[in-house]
Amino acid sequence: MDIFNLLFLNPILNFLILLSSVLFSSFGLAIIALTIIVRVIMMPLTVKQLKTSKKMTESMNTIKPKLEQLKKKFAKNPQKLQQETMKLYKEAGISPLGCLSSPMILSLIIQMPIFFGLYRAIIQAMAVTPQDFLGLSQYLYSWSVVTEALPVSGQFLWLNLADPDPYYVLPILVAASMWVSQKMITQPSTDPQQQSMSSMMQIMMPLMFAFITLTLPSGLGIYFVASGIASIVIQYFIFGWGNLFTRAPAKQTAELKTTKADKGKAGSVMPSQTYSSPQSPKVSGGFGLLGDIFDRLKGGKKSDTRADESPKGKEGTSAKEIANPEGSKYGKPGSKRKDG
Amino acid sequence: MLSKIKKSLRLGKLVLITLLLLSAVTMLACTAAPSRGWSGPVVDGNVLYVGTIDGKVVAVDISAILDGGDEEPLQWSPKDVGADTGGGGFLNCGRVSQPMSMYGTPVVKDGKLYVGTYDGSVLYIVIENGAMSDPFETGGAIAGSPVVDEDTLYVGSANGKLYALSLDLKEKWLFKTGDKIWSDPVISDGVVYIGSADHKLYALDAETGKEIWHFEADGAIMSTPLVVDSTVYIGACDHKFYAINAATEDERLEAVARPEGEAAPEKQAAHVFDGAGNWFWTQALTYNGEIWVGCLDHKVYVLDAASLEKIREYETEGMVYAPPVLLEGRIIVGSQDGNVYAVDPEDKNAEAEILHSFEAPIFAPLYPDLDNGIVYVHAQNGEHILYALRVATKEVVWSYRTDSISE
Repeated sequence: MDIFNLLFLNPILNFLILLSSVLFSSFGLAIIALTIIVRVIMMPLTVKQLKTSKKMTESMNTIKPKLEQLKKKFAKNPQKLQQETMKLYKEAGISPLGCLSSPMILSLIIQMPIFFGLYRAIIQAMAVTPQDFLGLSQYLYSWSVVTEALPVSGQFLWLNLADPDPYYVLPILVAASMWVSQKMITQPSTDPQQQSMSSMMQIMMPLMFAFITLTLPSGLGIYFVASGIASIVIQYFIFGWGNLFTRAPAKQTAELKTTKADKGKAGSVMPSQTYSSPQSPKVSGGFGLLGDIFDRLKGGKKSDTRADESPKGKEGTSAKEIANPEGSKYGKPGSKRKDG
Repeated sequence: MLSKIKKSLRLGKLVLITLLLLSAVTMLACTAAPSRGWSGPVVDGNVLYVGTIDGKVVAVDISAILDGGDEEPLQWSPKDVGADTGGGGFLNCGRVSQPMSMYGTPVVKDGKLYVGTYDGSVLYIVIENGAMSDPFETGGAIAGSPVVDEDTLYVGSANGKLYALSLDLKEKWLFKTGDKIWSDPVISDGVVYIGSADHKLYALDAETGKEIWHFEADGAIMSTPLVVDSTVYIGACDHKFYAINAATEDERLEAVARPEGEAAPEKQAAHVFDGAGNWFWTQALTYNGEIWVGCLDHKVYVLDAASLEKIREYETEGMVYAPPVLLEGRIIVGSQDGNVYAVDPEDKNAEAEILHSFEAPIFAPLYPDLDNGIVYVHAQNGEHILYALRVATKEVVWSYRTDSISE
């Protein structure tokens, strides 16, 4: 834990206090500024993740016809099918672990302590009780600008940053920003069950975070909101509004029901492909690490659905067509989109 | 059927991971310690009083326990609020300013025991019959001790205000500082000195509460000032220890005559010691032209009272929160490392001797019982235990767990 403090908590905490000193002694502004700075610093990692996922998705598309052939060939021998599938993945350089492949893991390992450090620094700096404040003395550098900035001001707008928001505005903002951020990067699924699960998660996660924000010090709520809005802005400038204004393809429901039997045969051997199709790349989710993981989990389901369930997929239709069965592009016509 | 089971499993896994991740993030975030309280003991007559983490006051007949008796101490609950010492909120990490513990040392005056509680109340208990007064609500947490001078009680609050109350708890005046007050006021020659987290030490007229002057440090002032002759000594969170000329009678009269709204002058420090490695949190002690002060850099500094030049220093293995006390010709110091140290101040080459190791951090002020050669130590490490340590023999003659009081 000391190493964590030395490498992450102490620098982040001191920088946070330094920022509050620079930003008109406002700890709320310091939280927002540091959240944005951390997200910007994380951008190369986010882009790296994106490239990796793109590469994997492209490789998946390349081997898709071969996979279909294998499925047909070994339809009655699941064990052999699995072996051959794994062999094919190996040849194509695809990790069967999907999101758990080494670049992804590395990215997560680097991001995780930074986000935890930021999270803990906010709690630590708001030292409310005398012993919290005493504890704070052990994490500070002997910079005069830091000691002069203490204790940080707990007042920000209508909030006392050490207490929950009495007017429940923050929880609503947290839920809204998280929902928008997730909706932008979530591909509508053609499987009603998957779509239902995806929709449930889209609602459940923001609600859970809203509930947590109800009882946490509002300084952390500010962090959640700033992080969510930062994600929305980053995603907008890279991909436009994404799927924010796209509705689920309800028309496909009947068609898909006929394919369920096929899915049972092949679903067990598919790798946990984690990202959307090449035309639906995404950056990290609305809430940093958590958002990433959930987005990936959801992405994996969608990929499975695409590859396994679509009858068109069996006929060699491209993933692009399957993911957007009605030919719809991201978002509304005219919305910005930059695939770079 | 199989695919349904698989989907259920996937969904279950998803929910499980969700919960685990949320728990991990939230628990990592919830590192702020709940309020504990570190009330110091005080002896009046043959009775020792101490506040508890439960928001209660324990009264112990020390003549009985020092004779080897096992009398059960008296317990009073100033406010019927239970023993809420947690943080509250989700996973107990939400609002942390709620608990009802006691930080300040109680004070006895005219048969009444005055206490300040962390929920912001000041009240008194009539010692004879245990009757309790209605509380005076300050609206902010009280982490310092109330101080009584003649017919006035002074107490600081985390709402940044210093209150002067009559002994029946009616407000006489209040003075607003720019940030929280966690220390004790000191009254000397009709002047109240109080430090605030707004980096300032204020000198106020004790009668009217009018500001005589203020001194501004480079960091928050959480320690209690020490007034010796015509000098005020105070340490701050800027790693510095200051000596400031005390307010004169002329300055006091000038302040009283100053029109409302006119700013009080700013005082400069006469001397500064800036050789410490961390904050000063405790009140200093004066001994024979020397100033002894503990520091969060684990050291106790001995400074020349006239110049604040360092004479020598003693190192402990933990932060020194509690002020040093003088007992039987020795300076006694409690440290976060759980040790109580003793130093002979006359022997300039003497090493600090460990009197006793309690293996529990010592936050609360020690109380030196001069009549019995006992130092009372309220140590806390999960359990809050009050010890009576006989300095001459280094023997703990009595102990009592203050946070396990049954109703």
